[in-house]
Amino acid sequence: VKSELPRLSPTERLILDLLAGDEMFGLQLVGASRGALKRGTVYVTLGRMQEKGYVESWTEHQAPGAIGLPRRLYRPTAYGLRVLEAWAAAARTMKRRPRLQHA
Amino acid sequence: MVPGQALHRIASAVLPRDICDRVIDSQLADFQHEWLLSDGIAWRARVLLRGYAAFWAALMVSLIAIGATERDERKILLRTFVMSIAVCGIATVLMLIPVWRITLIPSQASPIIQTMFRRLRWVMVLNWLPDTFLTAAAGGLALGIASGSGPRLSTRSIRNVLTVAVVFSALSFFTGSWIAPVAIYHFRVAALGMRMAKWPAEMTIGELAQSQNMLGYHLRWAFPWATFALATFALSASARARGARLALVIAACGGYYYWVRAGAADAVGRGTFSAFTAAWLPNVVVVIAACALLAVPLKPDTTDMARG
Repeated sequence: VKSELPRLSPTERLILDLLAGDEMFGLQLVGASRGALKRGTVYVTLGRMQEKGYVESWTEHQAPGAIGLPRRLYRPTAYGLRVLEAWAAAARTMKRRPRLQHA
Repeated sequence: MVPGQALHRIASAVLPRDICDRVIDSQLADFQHEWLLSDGIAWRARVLLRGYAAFWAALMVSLIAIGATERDERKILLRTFVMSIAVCGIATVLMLIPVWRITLIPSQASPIIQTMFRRLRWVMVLNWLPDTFLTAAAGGLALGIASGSGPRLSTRSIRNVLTVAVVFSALSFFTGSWIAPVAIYHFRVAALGMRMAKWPAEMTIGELAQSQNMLGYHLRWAFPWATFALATFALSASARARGARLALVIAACGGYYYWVRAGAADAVGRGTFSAFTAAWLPNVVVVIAACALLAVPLKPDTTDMARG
């Protein structure tokens, strides 16, 4: 059965869940996920989510003379939050499915 | 000196810029920030180890993702061109069958008549072949795009397909306007041994203008660009469902072909359009339809819930 829900993998759901509270850096997401997200793949997933329009990102403002590359902050888009909400609602509906009664 | 500068150069050399900016630089920036915050040899060593491991993992995953996309792209493009050639070949044969049939050799005719008919048949086929091939090729590329590609085509592939269409259109123009008419006429003279008045298909573009066949003249300019116009239309339809895009492209090709074969002459004969307008109208309509198709929104990407 096909649904009208956009594609959302479990990792993407977790990231949207974590970002729903506040904007975060990639490494902060890894820390907040308590081991569920890996340092090597979280940025690839975030890049893919940005392509899909689930999250948006921007680089932090660096003070003059700052060392290193500017870090990138992520936050969910309104569309991403709607998709997350729709998936949560779908999951709740599936849980409430009535059991078959045997005669 | 913060670590990661050499890694940044490596990633810049092997990955496209947008992926490097979005994925690798984000990872390296967090890595460098963590390293700057770290204190003590053990902590720094752990940060370095994790940072380097994360970099190579991110680089590998990105490279695999790009490789998969390019393989996919190559497959789609290959399918597009194979389908184009197949459609072109089948359409050419189908369109030449009526030409072949009207020159069927009478079985009880004398050997001289039979020889004449045999030669006439090849003259007729050759007479129709360039026109038929150009028509088939114009529709073939569009149908190839519609059947072989999908929403996954990248900007680079779209550019490649359009370049092929433009090159083919230009070649069609030169072939249809000069090379084919001259070749057909000389073949007829050689095969039948007669020097009669030239048929329209045997006239070069300049001779058509001299003979006041203005619709034929403008069609020689406009028709080769059908390949480009229909390919543009097929590309704009390629993001749609397979059935929808095939139906749209078949309708566009059918409409175009009908107009060129019958509608244009009829409209010019009635005085509805000038020869120039009648010749260029289908190209303009098809390109406008392609733009209009892009403006019609698509349904969002959907998938099976069970796969989530």
